Amino acid sequence: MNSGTNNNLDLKTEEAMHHRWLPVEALQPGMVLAKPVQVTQHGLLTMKLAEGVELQANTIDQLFSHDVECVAVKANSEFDQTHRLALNNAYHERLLQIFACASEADLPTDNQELFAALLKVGPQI
Amino acid sequence: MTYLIKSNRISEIGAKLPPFPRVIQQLLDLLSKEAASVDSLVRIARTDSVVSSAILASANRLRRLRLQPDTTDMFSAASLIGTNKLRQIFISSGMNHFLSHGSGQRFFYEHSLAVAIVAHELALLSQISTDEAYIAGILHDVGQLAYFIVDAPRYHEVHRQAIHTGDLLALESAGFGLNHCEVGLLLASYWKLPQNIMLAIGTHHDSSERWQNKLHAVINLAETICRGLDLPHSAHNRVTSVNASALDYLGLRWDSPELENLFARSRVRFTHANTGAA
Repeated sequence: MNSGTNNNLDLKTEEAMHHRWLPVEALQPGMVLAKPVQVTQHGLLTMKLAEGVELQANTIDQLFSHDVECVAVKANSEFDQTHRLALNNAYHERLLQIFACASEADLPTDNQELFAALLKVGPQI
Repeated sequence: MTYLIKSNRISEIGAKLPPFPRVIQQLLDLLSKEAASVDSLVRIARTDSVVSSAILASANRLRRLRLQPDTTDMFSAASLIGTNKLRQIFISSGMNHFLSHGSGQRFFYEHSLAVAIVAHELALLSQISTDEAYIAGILHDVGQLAYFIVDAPRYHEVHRQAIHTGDLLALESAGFGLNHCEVGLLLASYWKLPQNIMLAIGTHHDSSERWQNKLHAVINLAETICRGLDLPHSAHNRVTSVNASALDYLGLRWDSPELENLFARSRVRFTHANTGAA
């Protein structure tokens, strides 16, 4: 298995580290949306919240009643650069195990895009 | 003695399984006839204490957020959380007991739950029924329940061998006469599940390049995505082939922001749902 560090990993997952997806049940007033929320029902837009909106109790209430499952909120990384790199490398290693490959170069062509997409989303923090 | 599973023995096996959850049968029946209203769902929920408790718990979480006292009124609780959440509670609560007790395996239920959540998310992007996708996802491996009834130690051995060879379906066929997709199809027919869900169960490991139904492609992809996301975590999760034709058929791309969000959302939803169900 490839155990060397991959310097590209930090860049690929950096964006993912600045927000957290949370179930609506876990939201708290004061949290700030990191991605816009759009709800359509029967082809009609019924709710729209922009990135950067600070959640209030009644906004959370509306998200719940519009059947929104989870939203992305802004989050400061709880980890320093070294810890983040270690998490990313462990995640990369685990993906290689799951795809049964010693390195990305060994991935079959059909599997490369899924591997890259999973790598980009980063480890679950 | 080797017990081979055949279509004419499926009722004998079905009778040994825990009863298929009545709330799920009623929900499927309701969905086939009309848009499920809060009122009709509450009538069904009142017949099942596990489902009723889950609905009250979910509604009271929201009421506490509003600084309101807890409610014990089923209709106001159900109205508060909405029909989409209600349907998910029905399915998760109903199937949790059925799948966990039928197999005796926590992992079996967790894998089924993960596939249901990813299928639900894929259905949202593919504009197909999210209810059908969730139910088909949670039932996709139901054929494996038959092996636990027929000969659980032998199935554990088949599973152990498959970890090394990667050919689970062939080993199941060699050991039991039919693979779990084929057995699942027979069980779904025995329980009189809708045709679309039956076929999704039967085709979830197909490597077909010609898809005729989005639900079937959704369940097929959901299985692969769960393995890739390591949901639930297992040292044996492997992705050795990806059915690109299923993704093409749904009009999706792995490198799209929608899929990236789907991966992140699915993880969070699984963690949350699994914590709630434990």
